[in-house]
Amino acid sequence: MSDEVCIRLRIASDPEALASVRIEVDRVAQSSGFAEDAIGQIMLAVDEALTNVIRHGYGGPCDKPIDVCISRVLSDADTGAGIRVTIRDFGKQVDPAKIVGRNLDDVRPGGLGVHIIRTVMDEVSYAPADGGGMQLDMFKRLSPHE
Amino acid sequence: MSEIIKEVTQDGATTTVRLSGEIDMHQAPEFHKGLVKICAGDLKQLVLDLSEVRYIDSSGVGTLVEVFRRLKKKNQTLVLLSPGERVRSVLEITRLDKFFTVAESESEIPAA
Repeated sequence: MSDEVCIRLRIASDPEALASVRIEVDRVAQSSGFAEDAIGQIMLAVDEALTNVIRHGYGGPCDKPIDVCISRVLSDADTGAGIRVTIRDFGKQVDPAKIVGRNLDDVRPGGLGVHIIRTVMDEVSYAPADGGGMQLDMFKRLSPHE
Repeated sequence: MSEIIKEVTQDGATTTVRLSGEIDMHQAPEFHKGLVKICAGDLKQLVLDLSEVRYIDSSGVGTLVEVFRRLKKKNQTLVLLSPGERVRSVLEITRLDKFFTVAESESEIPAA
């Protein structure tokens, strides 16, 4: 059982909205006790996830809904304290097994988002959502040293 | 100039571009367009001053990679100057910290 404090946002699939989500992630991560470098990385992972929804899930339109839930996990017997971010879109559904990072030895623009998400966050789970679209759940554990 | 590209100066064969702000999917297209225009100029070395860049994501990093390739085709070089903690972190996560030439200060910029 976990004890969570959650902020819920609904944004449009407009890149202009990304900065506002980063501000909220920053706020929750700060209040959770994460160190500065971890906060920056969590903001980046969430940003990359939303960018992927805008670019791939919706493929262009700037007026589609994206639900974001940012939770400060105060305590959890299974995962420990940390931050959980859930992103739910209503766009294309894909097989989660196909959502993989690409080979970074091939240096070229694009395709870095999934690698960044999986590198930064301790737990990452993609699943098709009921009613269409995808749900991404991410969790980053608060280090005992923070 | 743009929201991200604040100043462009030329000193001999080196063009230095001072950048500022947050480079994400929203800002990336204008950032890309601005740098491509600068790359078309007469330069041997392009220095991107990142000291005032508070945030960059893979959209912005992708532009840096593309600029690097454009310059390399013409035997021109790219230097990333004074990236802050958050920029450095993105470069490390994407393993591009070894790909780019990074200078911590102006004194470390290689000769053009």
